[in-house]
Amino acid sequence: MRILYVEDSSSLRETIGRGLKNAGYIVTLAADGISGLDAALEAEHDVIIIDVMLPGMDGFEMLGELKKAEVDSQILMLTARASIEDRVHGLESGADDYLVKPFAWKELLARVRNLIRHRYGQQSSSLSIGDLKIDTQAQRIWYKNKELRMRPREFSILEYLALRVGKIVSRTELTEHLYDHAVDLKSNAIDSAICNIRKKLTLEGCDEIISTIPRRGYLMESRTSKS
Amino acid sequence: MSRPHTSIQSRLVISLTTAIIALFGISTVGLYFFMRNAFYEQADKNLIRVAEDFMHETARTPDGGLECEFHELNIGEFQKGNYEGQAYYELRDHQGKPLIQSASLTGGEDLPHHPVAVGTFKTEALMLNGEIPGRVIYTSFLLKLEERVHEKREETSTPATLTPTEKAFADSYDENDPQNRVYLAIAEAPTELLRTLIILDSTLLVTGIILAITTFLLVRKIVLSTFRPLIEIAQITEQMGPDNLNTPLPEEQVPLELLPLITRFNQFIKRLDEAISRERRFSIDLAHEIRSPVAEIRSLMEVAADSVGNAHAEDPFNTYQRGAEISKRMSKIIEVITVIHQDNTEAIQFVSESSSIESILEHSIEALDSPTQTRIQFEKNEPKFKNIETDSDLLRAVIDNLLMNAAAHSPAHSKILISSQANGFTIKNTTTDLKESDLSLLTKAFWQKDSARTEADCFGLGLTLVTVYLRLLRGRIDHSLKDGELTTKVLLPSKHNTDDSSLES
Repeated sequence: MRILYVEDSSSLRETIGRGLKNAGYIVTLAADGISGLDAALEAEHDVIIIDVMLPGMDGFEMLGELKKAEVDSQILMLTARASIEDRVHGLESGADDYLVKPFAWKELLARVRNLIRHRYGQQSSSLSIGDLKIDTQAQRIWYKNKELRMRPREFSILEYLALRVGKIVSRTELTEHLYDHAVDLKSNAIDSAICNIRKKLTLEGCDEIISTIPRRGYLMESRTSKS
Repeated sequence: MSRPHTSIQSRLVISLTTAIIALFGISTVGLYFFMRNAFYEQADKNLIRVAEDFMHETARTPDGGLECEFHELNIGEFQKGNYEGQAYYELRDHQGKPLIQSASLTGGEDLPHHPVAVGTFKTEALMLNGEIPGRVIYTSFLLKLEERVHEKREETSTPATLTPTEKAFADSYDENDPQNRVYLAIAEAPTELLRTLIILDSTLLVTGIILAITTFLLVRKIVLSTFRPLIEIAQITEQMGPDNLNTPLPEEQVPLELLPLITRFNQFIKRLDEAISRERRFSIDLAHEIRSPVAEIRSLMEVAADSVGNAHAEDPFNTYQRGAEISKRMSKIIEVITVIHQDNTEAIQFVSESSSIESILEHSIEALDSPTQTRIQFEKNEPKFKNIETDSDLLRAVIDNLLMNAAAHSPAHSKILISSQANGFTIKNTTTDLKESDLSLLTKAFWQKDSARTEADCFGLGLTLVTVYLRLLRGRIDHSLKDGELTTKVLLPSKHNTDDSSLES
């Protein structure tokens, strides 16, 4: 999942950026409103976190520009301005959520995950594809009530495919959402991760849940277990 | 126990109405009594005339009898049940014994006997027959001898028509003898007068009621129209609250007497509104300044804790170092806010001592980082600085803040000019984004040209602090902007206890 974080405080930007990366997200950082807007328009992000008081262009202005450009990312306003007027203004301007500083890291993370679920039309943090269950909040996976161990990247791919269940997801889409720009699109990182996921699933008896569609991408489908 | 609130309007209506009605009432009662007295006086005069006629027509006959030509007096006999123009009369001898009286009178008790002096008249009110109010006149006179006897006695020494007894009586008759004194009482029922007085009573009563109602309505209308602007102002004031102080009271139709009050009130409300807005802004800015570092330090610690064991986790040393930097910045903010607050409570200790502005300026310049020092151009004007009586620590804080401010808000390699005066100094630096309208905001707490706080060490309190310190030093600071150059001029009194007039340069 790709997240854009626009924050003028270098310390906070660095800390939150690191935390989000550690949580498995692809994070783009921007220090002011103008560069933040450029980054938001340049690439698709699942969630954009915007500080309100930004140099150059403030958060509300940036939000207005994003809405004007019909950017469909989920937007979280993150600011020290706690007044009811500011919150109402932010939410009425099109923000999907509003979080006041100082905040708990876990709360920010939970809100980001919640926004991602909303983006993909999920009401619950738990995804069920047949006997496969994914808890996006706790980042845990079960197959027939047996927990499977996945690496953060593998979890992200499985979660993304689960969110897009029944739809073909191209390698490019997966790369854009789950990998940093630094990753070479021609590398076999995606194929390798998919291969690992399939192996772990097959070991537990859950095979053929992820299909490869030649020259198009991957498809996750809900299938009943043979056993 | 507090008294209940009363309405000035109601009190004024009641007071004015009462006062006017009282005035009219007193005047009316006065007029009534004046008229009544005039009527009675007229009635009494009539009675006196009747009495005089009575006296003129009454005489002693030569045979010792009494002659009264009543028919010539036109005094009607008083009849019970018919009082119209009727009268009593009663004549008593010198002993008070009735001689003649109206036929309707029954005895000596009908009209009281008042032995008044000869030729004097006394009038009083009386209930005639115990039924009807009337007037009575009392007088006394000396009975003359009958006219015809009198005339004959003077013409001839021996009147032929008189008997010897009569002649002897006539000759011996002394008109001044007290024995010939008689007392007259005539009473009359002044029905016409009484009717007039009743009409007067009724007219005055009805007029009084109409006058009272009209007065009340008129006074109420006048008071209402007079108080209307005040009531409107009260209604508008009633709607006022902390959230709508920006609506002033209307000054257009306010009475002249209230205008200064309303004008002052509006000025007060405007200042209050500005103060509330400033306070609100200050609180928001303060919250922002405190919340941001708190958010930074909290996130730093929580992310670090969450990343334990993660390959991409931050080096703990870096985390501690960053945490320490954030904490230091927070301390600085709190320290500055505390100082600003202390100014309000006048708790800052001021130590007056002989101080050299020149040396304080030099120390401040030395404390700057090398790149900034190279930008400083210090002109030490003649005559050389003299020492002044001031607090050198506070002055140092003022200069430090101003120099740091000049360095932070001017282009990287531009010059910062410092020049001296006998009792102050001037700092000039180029500025690219400051406007004339920004000058009044420079010293406001948390104000920064860019609302976002991009510089970690700048939080818009430096110049506020300078203002606070200079107020304590009884100094003055002026900012001016010309051709992109900001001039900051600081003037200080040569002695701390001198007033502001010493700051005139």
